[in-house]
Amino acid sequence: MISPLSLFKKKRGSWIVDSLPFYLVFAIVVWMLFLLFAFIVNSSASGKHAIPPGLEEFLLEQRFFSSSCFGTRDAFTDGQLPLIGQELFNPLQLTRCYQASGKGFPAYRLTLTAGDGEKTVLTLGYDETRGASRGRSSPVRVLAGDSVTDGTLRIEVQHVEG
Amino acid sequence: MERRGTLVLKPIVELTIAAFVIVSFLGIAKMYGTGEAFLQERFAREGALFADAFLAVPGVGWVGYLPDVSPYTLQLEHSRFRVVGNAETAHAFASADDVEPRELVTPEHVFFFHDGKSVSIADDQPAITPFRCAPLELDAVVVQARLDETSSAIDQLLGVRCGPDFLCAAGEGVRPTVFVKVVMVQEPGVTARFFYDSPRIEESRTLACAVLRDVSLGLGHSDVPKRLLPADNQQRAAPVPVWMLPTDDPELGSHRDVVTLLIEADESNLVPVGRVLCRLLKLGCES
Repeated sequence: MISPLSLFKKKRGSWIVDSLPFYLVFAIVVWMLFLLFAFIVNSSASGKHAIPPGLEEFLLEQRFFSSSCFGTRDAFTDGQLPLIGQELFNPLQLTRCYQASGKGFPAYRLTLTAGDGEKTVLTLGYDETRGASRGRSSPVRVLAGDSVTDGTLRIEVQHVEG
Repeated sequence: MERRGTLVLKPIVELTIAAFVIVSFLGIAKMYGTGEAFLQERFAREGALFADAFLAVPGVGWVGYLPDVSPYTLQLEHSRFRVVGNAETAHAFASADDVEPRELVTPEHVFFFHDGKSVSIADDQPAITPFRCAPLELDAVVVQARLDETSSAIDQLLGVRCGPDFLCAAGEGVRPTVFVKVVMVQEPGVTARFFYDSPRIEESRTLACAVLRDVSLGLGHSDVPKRLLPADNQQRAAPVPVWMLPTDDPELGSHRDVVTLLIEADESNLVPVGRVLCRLLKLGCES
């Protein structure tokens, strides 16, 4: 039986460095070193320009109040509470304004309460069998038909592995 | 003894591998040594964060991103911001239908904006106004107006003739083409309501939009600049809270075949609203 080491030896017992197996091993080692080097330097670059903790999450939550999502397009809310269109508060609109499933972004459970009514919508990836890692309620104004009433929007966050 | 050809092949393979290793490591060393990799990483991250931020803007706005990005091609994709230079760096953001993908090839600067319809990037300052209204096309306007008894100041401004029931008329013609109802309210600000169950809803909505746009730009106020766009100072031009909402007001419903508008304004905003209305309806009271 031929020993694997014999592939690297010349017939007279000395190591050879110009055989095909040597080149294969050499190429693999160099490629791994290359990847390791790139990974270490890239991690260093990422660390230098890390986004402050919580900033991205804050922006994502603000989106639900904007005209991209449930905020009404036609009203300015200078100095006032965010205006949520009750008609807009549905799963389809949420799918239009938050498309982050499976990318390591958080999943959300949103509950709009206005008067006696309450409505809940979930983003993709939200697992109701697990609890939310964080939740907060914000006062809002809710536009239903042509009347505006006071309400609250509760945002519950669940972190999803990317 | 080597076979024929092996002697030629061996140095070629060795030189190729050596060249690959040297060039790769030199390339990486150059990118990180000059800081280019760090810059690309920073642009990609901040670009993605700007996209997130503009998707959260409640109204409209833009911001100029002033670092020199001229060596790069910037791509706003549906869910990524990509910077392409000697290498390629991309960072993801939570996307939405409002994102309008665009590519800028070696721009000097990049502007991120939300124009009320989409979030995108541009290589020049985008022209954005606080209200995007369709062009208002009203010809041969004959206004019939119901003025609140407390808002009589506006009748002189509009140049309307009012009866004892505060029903007023302006313009040449028998049949009114526009019906405007003005009510004074205590809450500061201006609300323009349009009757939603009407064949003239689009024109009514456009008129409401135009009134609020001009009021929020301060065009009805004599003591503020005539033209002050929010984009000029990155904030809203006027501190007047303005609202545009639908209504089922029965009086507007009885005029559903004409363009209708219900204005609710506090006392301090009645005259500016009158000036704006007068100008938009071309009632000849520019002064």
